[in-house]
Amino acid sequence: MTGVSDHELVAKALQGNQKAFRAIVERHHATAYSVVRAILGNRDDVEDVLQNVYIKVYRGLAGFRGDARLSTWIYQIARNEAINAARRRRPDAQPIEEIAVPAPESANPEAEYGKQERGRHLEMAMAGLEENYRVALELRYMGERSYEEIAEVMGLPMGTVKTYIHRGKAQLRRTMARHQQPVFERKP
Amino acid sequence: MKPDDFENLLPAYMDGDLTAEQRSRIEAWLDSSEEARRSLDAYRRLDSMLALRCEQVPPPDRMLHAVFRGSLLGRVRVTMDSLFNFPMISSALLILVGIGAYLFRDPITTWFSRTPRVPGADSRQLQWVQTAIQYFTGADVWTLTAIYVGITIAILFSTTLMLMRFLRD
Repeated sequence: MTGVSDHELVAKALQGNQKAFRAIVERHHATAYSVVRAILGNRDDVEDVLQNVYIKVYRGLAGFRGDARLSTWIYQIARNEAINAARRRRPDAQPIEEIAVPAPESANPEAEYGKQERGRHLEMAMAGLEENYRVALELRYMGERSYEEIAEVMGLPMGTVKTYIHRGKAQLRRTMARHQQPVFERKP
Repeated sequence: MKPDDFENLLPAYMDGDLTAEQRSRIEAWLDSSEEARRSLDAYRRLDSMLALRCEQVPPPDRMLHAVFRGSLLGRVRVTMDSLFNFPMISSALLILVGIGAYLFRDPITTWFSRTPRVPGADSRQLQWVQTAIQYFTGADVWTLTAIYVGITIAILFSTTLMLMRFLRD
């Protein structure tokens, strides 16, 4: 259903057209996933939270008045759900630093291990960022959204979004350099 | 500007978001400093690592399936609740009626014996079954009532459980 506007899809979904709802989710999935991941990190309940987001979107479509853009509305639902899930964080939840890195199975185990280690350090560095920086970065890279789209979704001026992303990257670079990642190390 | 200020501007430089003046100052810094070039290189690698994150987004199929199933189950769950309540309430009522009937068995028996019977209302087959059970078990009419109530409760519960399992699967 490419080329069909969000409002048309909403109208069709409200008539019970499941394909239209599927198209809405596919269109905004990366955004919702990025927001939930930005707030919850690499937790195993990210998909469960996202499932609740889509159930709420499905049930709330009738109440969607169209004052805001659909992407902004879904972003708000995803953000609220993720924040609620973070509050309900299980006491036995595993901190990201303790997540075991699985044994490499590739032809070049050392390179694979190094890649996984860098990925783990990146996750840790991401977890240490301010929420706004993290959300903006995840939307940009995980969600592959343009600055304009991110500004629209987050309801912020584009300049602010750019500042969040640039500052977030600078902070990531410093944090990863502190974790002795050779690529990110700075000369004393 | 200090080196740290220059470095903080590198992400904006890579995005082409600097003014012409800032850009020329950054380029001059990059030309003059090995550390500056290393920093730029580190930012480029960070960008590549971040760009790989888009591959981590799982397809929404499983979640969508759950949504459609969830919306259907939402309706089914209400039905299941009412089904679950039905045997509970009916069983409780049957037990109460049984206890009441047992407590007031004498006046009820008297009342029934005075009540004229409607011709042909009694089922001959049911009478045979009742007589057969009484003959083999020696049970009186109240024991039989208790057995009937027990069987009714068991049937209601087992039917409900079967239905719930069927709907869940």
